[in-house]
Amino acid sequence: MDDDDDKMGTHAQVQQLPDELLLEILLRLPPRAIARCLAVCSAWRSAVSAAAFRRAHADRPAAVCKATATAIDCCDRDAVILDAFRGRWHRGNVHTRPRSPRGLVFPAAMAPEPDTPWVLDTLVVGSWDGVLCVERGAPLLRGSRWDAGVHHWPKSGRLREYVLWNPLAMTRATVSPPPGRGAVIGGYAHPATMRFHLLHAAGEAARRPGSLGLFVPTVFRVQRVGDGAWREVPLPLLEQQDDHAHAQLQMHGARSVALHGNLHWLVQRGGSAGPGRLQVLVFEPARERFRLMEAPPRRHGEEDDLARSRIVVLSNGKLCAVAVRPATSTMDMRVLDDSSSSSSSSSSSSSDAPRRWRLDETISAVTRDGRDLSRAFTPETQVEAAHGHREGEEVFVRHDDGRVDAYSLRRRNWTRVCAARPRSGSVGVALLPHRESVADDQPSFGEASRLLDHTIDVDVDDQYLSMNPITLLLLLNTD
Amino acid sequence: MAAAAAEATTDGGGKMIILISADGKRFEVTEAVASQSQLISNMIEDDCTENGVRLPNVDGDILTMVVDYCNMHAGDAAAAGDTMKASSTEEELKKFDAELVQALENPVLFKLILAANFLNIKSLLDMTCQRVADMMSGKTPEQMRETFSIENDFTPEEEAAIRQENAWAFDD
Repeated sequence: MDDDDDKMGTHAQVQQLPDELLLEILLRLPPRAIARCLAVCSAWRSAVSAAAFRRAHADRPAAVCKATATAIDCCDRDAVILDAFRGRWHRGNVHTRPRSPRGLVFPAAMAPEPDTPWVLDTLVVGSWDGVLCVERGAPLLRGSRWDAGVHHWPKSGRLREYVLWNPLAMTRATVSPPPGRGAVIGGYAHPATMRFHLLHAAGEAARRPGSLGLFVPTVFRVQRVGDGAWREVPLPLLEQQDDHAHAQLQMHGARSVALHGNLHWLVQRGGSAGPGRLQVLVFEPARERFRLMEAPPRRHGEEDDLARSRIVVLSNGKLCAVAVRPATSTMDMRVLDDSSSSSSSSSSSSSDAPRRWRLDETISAVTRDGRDLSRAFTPETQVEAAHGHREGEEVFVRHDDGRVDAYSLRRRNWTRVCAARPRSGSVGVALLPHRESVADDQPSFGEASRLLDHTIDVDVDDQYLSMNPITLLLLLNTD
Repeated sequence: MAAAAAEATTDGGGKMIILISADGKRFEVTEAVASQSQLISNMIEDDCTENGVRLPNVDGDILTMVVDYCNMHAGDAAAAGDTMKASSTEEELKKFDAELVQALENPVLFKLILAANFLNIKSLLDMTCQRVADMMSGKTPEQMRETFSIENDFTPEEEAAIRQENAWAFDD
């Protein structure tokens, strides 16, 4: 140590903590408290405004939130309700202090036709940089989004729009989708301007056995929210030496994974020769371009299977590919050793070390009560990772019926963390990695931004949502 | 006497280490307990703990707390991979940790943070920083200044401007 001895004296105060320790403390604050620190004194304002703080905060592991889309019978409305789920940096329920609305209420959906079962058409698409994206007028049948044989989507007369919601700043915006079949595949606040952008893929269903839910993107588009116009972004270049049999990309509905400012998707090369190898599609917001990078090598004698593969970000900031293997009832976790993240640490590894995937762990897909999760795994199944305060690193699997299991990498076993089965059809559950943006750089919706300030209290009679009554924000059609 | 103690071993066979605080207080702990501090763990690896470890940055009363914490958590690291670990132990640890930081006056808490940082005990640093963060959240800027005896060096105009820019964070 240097000459800090005097500071250890009887008058140790927060001002005498070295900058790096003040940073450690500020990083643990909820966003609202961080913003308030700006007004405490000039030293704290500098600390919170510093680029180092922004970077450290942006690299904090996200919490896993549960977003539930549900119909509210009593008032003929749809609601999306957000619950903090688990996360090292996000203790307890984000809504308790201060008490804040836990969700959005939408105007009455179109009444179901007499002879059809009631089906929810509100879908939680994802959460990026603290902004939730909800799709209204989503396809009624699962897997029918890309299927040209299914004619009733988009159904004439039904409203189709994306609703963006920043629960922290209480702002929202609506965005019209481009025409045709497609889906929002990601979003981001631009690193320089903080203007929020949405990424959209148009495409068609992948035609091969077992590919339900997989699609072949034909056009990627980006919209700076508030501009009202979608712009095309070129597809990534597929290498020349590749044979024509694998000339197309296939994607699945899994949302993008954000890491180091870029968005990532797992994709598979495909075509007339059947499934090719897996790759990672990367979008760089600053340059507004796509590129491809190698996905983990397959096991000997096995084919890559996009429908059973996901990528997540671990709390150490590394990309992790999860491959489900029903043949052995296991899941392989492969981690991408990322040289760029080691440069800031004290590790002695050389900074120009190549990025490579290594098999980190093979975990059993069988739960303690004997269920084999690898067999129930479908292209719709969601996988996320989060680092709980007490639980350590966990991998979450949201099954198609809305229930959630978590695998603790420390204890090496599965726990059912969300056991209630929601009422079928009228409730949709999404797991979201949710990370609020800090302080004075809230993502902006530009001209499209509206403040949300009408709240209603709703009794939700559903064991799945456990909390009663809840305060929700009313989304009014007042544009 | 110190030299003899430094060479002593426990019944379990773990080697003992002497920690010496700034004001000369001596603490005898096992290697397993002491090596939760990355600083001391490195010293053990380099074989330079023979004559006791002098910690000129850490007062005796703070070191008492650190040693208590490390004693309590010594089994923690070893059992981390053990699925059979009794949940009661985990509950006890949680209770112990909560009581340790809850009762502390500010100056002591900050000294504990500095000690945890110097000794490089990640879990203790984590816990103490979180404690300060918990004290800050939910408070207005005025309450934060009061809690931590911070002088407001903004002009009224400056402060008003900051509040205006971040209005969402200040409404109640």
